[in-house]
Amino acid sequence: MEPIVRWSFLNGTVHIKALIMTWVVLIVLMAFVLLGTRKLTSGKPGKFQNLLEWCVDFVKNLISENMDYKKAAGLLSYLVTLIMFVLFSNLAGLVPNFFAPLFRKIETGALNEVFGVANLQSPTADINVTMGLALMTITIVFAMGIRMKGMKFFKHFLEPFPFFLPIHILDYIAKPMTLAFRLFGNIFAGEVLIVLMLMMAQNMHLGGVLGAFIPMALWLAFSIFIGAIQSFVFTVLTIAYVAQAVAEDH
Amino acid sequence: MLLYTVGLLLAAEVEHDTVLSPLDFGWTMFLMILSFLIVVWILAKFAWKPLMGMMEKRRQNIEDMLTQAENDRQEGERLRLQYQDELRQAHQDAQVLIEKATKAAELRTAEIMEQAREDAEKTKQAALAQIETERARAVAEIQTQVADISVAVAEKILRKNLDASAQKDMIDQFIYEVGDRPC
Repeated sequence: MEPIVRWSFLNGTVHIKALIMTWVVLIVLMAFVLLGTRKLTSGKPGKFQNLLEWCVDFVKNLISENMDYKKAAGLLSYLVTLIMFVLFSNLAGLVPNFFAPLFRKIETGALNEVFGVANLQSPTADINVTMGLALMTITIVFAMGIRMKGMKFFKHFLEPFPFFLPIHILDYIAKPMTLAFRLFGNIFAGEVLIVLMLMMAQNMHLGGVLGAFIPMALWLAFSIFIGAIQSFVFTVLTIAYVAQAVAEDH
Repeated sequence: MLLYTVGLLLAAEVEHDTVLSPLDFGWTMFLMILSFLIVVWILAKFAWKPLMGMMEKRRQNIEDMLTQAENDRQEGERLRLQYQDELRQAHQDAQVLIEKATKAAELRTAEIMEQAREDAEKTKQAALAQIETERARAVAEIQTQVADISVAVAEKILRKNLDASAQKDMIDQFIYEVGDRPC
């Protein structure tokens, strides 16, 4: 697998490809959504507005199925942005890098290594991004739990018996970790396979190109499916964890 | 952060290295969280809130329209029943009127018939009275004529001096002549 290019930042490092791809996806997402909500109407909506309304309704229904909608109504904006960001991120890695020739010669910051290659990268194929999303989820879980139930929220750590406390703590560590690693693993593995197929095409000349073409087409189609499923799973689990935290009884 | 990155690139003094393990945590996570939250805030403020407002407004509109439609339907039903009632009432009134008119017409017919009968009776009585008068006058006239004729016969007898048989023949003939006349 290709090594990850790190830039030093403050006293640490950043994964520059993942970070820049995150920004690219966020900018595309913003453009997409703001373009769709440009001409809002409460009458007959246009196709674009209709699509966005469908997304909002979809997430709204997910919330209503898991919990009292009123409790999480404030989270709707976050959750809609989340599901669309994860979906767009998952798909971003499937787009060929049309700008590769522009970066091939730039040595600065190893940009030739980062963007001088044939494939882009999904932000969600970097553990930092998925872990960031998962940490936001678990923060929201705590925040909603404390907001809805006050200090009573912490009482359930001791239920049904006080010696369950370690298990509950483990639960709250496992939740963000599973969220982060599930998404990361799915997308990262998908991209590894894409890179492998590209390498195959590169190394074996004509035979490799033809040999990689059909698996690549199939795998890209399947990756779109996986990307959609994983964005859905991430959002549903976020909602489910919040629902657990704000539920009145266990 | 974007500006910082661009600045670093322009300064061409980016310190970098590479790492093979994908499980390498760093600032990426926090920068990503920051960027994501900024976008969430922007989209919530400029896209999702207005969009949800519009959806809520449309929902309200549709609810209003449904309520309005239900009200209209009830009003329509009420009017229909009212018109039906009125129609039935009108039918009844018409029936009563027809009956009344029929009865009045029958009465009037009877009256007219009675009047006609009375008139006819009167006319008949008048005619009879007139006939009686005419008859009486005719009788009186005949009597006068008979008297005149008798005087004339007597005159003839006296003047001619006839014998008894001739007298008798004359009287018979005279009576025969007179007998055919109406009196």
